[in-house]
Amino acid sequence: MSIKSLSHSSLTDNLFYRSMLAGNQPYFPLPEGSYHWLATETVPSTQASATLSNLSFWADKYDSLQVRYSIRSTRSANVDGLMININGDYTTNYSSHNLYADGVSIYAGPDYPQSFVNAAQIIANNSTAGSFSMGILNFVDCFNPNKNLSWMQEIGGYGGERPIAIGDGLWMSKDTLDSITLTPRYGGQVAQYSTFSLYGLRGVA
Amino acid sequence: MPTQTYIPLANYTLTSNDSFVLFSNIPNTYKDLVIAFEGQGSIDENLVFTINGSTSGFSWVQMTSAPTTGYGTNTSIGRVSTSRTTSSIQFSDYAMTSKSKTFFVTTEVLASEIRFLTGLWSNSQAINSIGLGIRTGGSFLTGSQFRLFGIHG
Repeated sequence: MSIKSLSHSSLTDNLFYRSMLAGNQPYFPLPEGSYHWLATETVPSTQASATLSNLSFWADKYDSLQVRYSIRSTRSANVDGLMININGDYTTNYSSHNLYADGVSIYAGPDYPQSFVNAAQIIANNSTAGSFSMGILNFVDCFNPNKNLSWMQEIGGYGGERPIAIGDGLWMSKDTLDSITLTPRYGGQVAQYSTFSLYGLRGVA
Repeated sequence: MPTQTYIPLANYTLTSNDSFVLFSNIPNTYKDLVIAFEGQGSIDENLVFTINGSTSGFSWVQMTSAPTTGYGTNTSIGRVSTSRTTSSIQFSDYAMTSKSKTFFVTTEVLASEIRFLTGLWSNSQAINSIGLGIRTGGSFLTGSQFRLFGIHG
């Protein structure tokens, strides 16, 4: 790390540094281990979507990110769809594959090109009260500037209907990952008590 | 600030065959729980479980590598085999009393099958104990390992 001139400091520039090394990058120690909890949002009241933002802050600290979520849609039906968008991109830059089942039928299929990644189905308002779908997204090597962004996804819930799926998503861009937005697909909103947690994983502890 | 997580809470390795393994006094200070099982059973049978001592209120749907799909309203949430079996059981928001409890179970029976299951325990209680057994009287064999982890959130 290069040392910056003290002609620019918190005193001369009126800047706040968390480090005593004025002018240098803030000192930001990571805890031991390779799997760290970074943030959680619990939805306080119904909202249109959920966004995990400022993810690029973690680019030099972690290799991979994981999102664990518990979600229910307010749509007046047993289920709703779920869309994933990256960095606010709503153009047809996405592809996905999913293996779906519902306890009666099992089927698979690709979705491309689309303006979102199809994250399968989630529990909605007409389902059993208090039931939520559970999902996990694994973004592996997600800050590598030489790769388009891809991830594995699994989701399932039970309540009225029984949607379960595993699959993958692809965003055809090498731009630095900065935000992940999850939006109910068919007019519903994200219900109260839905939770979204972000984790960072690194190869060297 | 980042917080180290995936914290080991309990670790059992059976020194003799046992028909039932119980994780009790689970703290409510994490968001999610993960149970990792690796071992063998005395018979090929369904893995069954209890939550807070309860065997009611369960429903599940699964898909398998056959490929097949099915659903049920009992506690048979996985598989144990006389071949090596690995399973992970993950609970979301296990301590949140404003929702029922949703879980994933991924099971792999060596060179045989893979199952992915999601289920619901229709109860808003915080989970404080989880028991694992084998349906119709089977036992987990000596050397089988059961680990419980907590994930902050």
